[in-house]
Amino acid sequence: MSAKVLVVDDASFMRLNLKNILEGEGFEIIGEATNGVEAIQQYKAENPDIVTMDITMPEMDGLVATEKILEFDPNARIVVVSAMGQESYIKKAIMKGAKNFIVKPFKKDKIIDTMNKALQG
Amino acid sequence: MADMDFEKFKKLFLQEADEQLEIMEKGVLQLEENGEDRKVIDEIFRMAHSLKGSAGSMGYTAIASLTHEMENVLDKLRTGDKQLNDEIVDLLFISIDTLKNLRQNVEKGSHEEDEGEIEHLLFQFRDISAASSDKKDIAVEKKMVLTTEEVQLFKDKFQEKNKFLICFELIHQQEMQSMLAFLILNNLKDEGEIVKTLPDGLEDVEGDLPFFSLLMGTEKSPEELGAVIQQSVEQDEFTIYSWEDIEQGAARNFFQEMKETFVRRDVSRDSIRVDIEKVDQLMKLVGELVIDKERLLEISKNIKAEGRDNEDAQALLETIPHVDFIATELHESVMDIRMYPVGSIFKRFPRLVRDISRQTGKEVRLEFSGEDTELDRTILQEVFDPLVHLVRNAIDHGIESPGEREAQGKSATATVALNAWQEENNIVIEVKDDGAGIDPEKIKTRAIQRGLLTEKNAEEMDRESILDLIMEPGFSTSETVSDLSGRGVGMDVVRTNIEKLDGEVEIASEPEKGTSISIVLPLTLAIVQALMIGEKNADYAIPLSAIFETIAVGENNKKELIKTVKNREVVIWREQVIPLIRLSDFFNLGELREEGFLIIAGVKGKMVGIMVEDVRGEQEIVIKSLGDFLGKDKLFGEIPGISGATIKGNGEVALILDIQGMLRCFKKGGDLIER
Repeated sequence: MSAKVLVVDDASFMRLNLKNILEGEGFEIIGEATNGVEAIQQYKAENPDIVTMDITMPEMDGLVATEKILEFDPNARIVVVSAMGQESYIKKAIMKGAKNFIVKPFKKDKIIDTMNKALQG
Repeated sequence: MADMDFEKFKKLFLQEADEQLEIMEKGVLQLEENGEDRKVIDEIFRMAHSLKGSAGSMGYTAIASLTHEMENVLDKLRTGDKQLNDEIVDLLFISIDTLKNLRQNVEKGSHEEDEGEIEHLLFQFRDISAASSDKKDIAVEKKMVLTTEEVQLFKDKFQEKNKFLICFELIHQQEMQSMLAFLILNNLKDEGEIVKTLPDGLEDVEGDLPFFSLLMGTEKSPEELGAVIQQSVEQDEFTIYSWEDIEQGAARNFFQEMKETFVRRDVSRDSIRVDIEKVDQLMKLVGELVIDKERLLEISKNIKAEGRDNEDAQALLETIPHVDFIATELHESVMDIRMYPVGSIFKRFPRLVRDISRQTGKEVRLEFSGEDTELDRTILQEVFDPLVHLVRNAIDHGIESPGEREAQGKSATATVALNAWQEENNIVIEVKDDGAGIDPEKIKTRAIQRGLLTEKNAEEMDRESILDLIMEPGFSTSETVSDLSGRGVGMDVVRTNIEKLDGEVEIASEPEKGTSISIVLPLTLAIVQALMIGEKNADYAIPLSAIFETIAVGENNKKELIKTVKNREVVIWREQVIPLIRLSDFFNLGELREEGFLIIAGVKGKMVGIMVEDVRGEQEIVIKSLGDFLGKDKLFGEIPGISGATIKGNGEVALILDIQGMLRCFKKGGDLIER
């Protein structure tokens, strides 16, 4: 059964990019959110297997959203998506319980690999 | 948006932009004065960020792009990924100026969308952002060392539990290795207790981290831990060793490989910061040691000569060569500590070049090569000002205006290159431009006008000597510079400064093609091999690098060797005619010596024969500035023919002859200028 993914990013370009890559490898995109608030709502409604979570977003950023989702579901698998040079944010997300991280600009193989690893846990 | 609304928003935008720009400018000024300050950087970052946001929503894309790039670089400064430097401060200033202009355009309602204007700024920011991180690689200890106490504690604490050493080698993951380490560490924390990591403080390490390891106690099995780790890295990127394995030294290979890798990659050499004064002090002491060593070598010669054959003498004779060896090694090691890459001064040029080209309205691209070439720190500091001079001259006088260049079929943008390389025992730093070059005819004319040269002399001179004329004091003054595609401003000062460092300045130029000026410097000052010579009970030293041959002069050969041409004494050496200097005459020591030794010396192909009373032999000498002997107010450079002094093995002082300086004095005496 293909894994159900919730893609969270405020930039529609990034969402599309991730969606194309993931769908090409048999993942099922069950929802897209453009900020942290939407991410939490959709997580509760759709119960995805895994979430890709952008960090810098309006309304509620990815760090807070990660924390809230994990409060709701301690077993949630969240992979944070971040730009190079934002190590400190990645560290914070990992400490909050993110399973893994993806660095922009994306490399297809790396994303699939990371998603699969995160799904193992 | 209705026009009314838009105007309202625009007014608000302009108001805010003024405030933001003012705060940014104040901030950058503070940075320039006080250096890196996290609070100030944060403030500038916030202002750039707000301006970017409002400009973006108003559709002012030029302002938005520029502030975006500023933000990127500022963020790198905030995270410590970049260190603040002149280049960045400068770029920030220019950006703020440009933003002010763009803001004016918005107010005037003129076309703001001129991306071309800011394009080069954007590129510069991107270059800085993309350049490798300034953050120093962490020093990695080569091996995890546990004290006996730690081992006991570890054993007591976990007793029957599993104790593992997990070693990682990230062969598949090249990016964000330290983040992966952090992730693994974080995941393993849930599985047991990590008591020690290598490198220490693994969670705070940043940058490349191909190897790391950790020691932990846990109730989990190796398989369970492996599954957790494989959520982050591949199966072949880690090995789990049990306590028994560790005690049998099974992990030794890992540590060995880690050590070799780090030594090979040179990324994690342990280093310490040392006050340069301490290094200078060490250098002085080594200098003293070299003097004593020379003394010992002299003593051992005496012992051998006198055939004193007792046990102590033998022991001494055996020990001295070892002391000689150690002193030489020590000297080289200390020299090595003092070596600095020339890139450290090249870094200061981009700003300078931009400023000068702006002032002069020229378009210049600056290129570097050989930034890693190393040079003694003291020399490097002294060479900066002369280099600035050369670069300034190249842009100001050498390079044509973009219009002229295009008319000649050259690209409008000129190139100035700073190149460095090692050539035997010298380091060469070259300033090369593709400008107008120097016209030898104009130099001749000028030199004749200035009375530096007669027309007759001028005809006999080769091209190289003519170019060298621009370094003669009084050759040119600033008002004559431009009609000579002038290089003369202060070139005599450049030469004097470089010769103080025992270096040379070489000029090559081709009209219309460009000019290359090379500064040739000794690898190090301080200690050199020299030939010791004697005249009237005093010793002098000539650096061996300048000596071609030493000839004993007596009744049998003096007539062949020394001739008189046009009332001047010359030496006929290997079918060349070279000037003769009698040392006793040069220093006014009285009687002219007819017999003795003739030292054939030369610098840059200019030869001289120096007649001396005696040759005492070769020796390593420690060069001391004459300032040490004559008091601080006097510069040794002011004594013609003498470049410094040294202390001999027996404690006496010997003067070091400056061949170039002697040649110049000699020329002034009449060869070059006939008055």
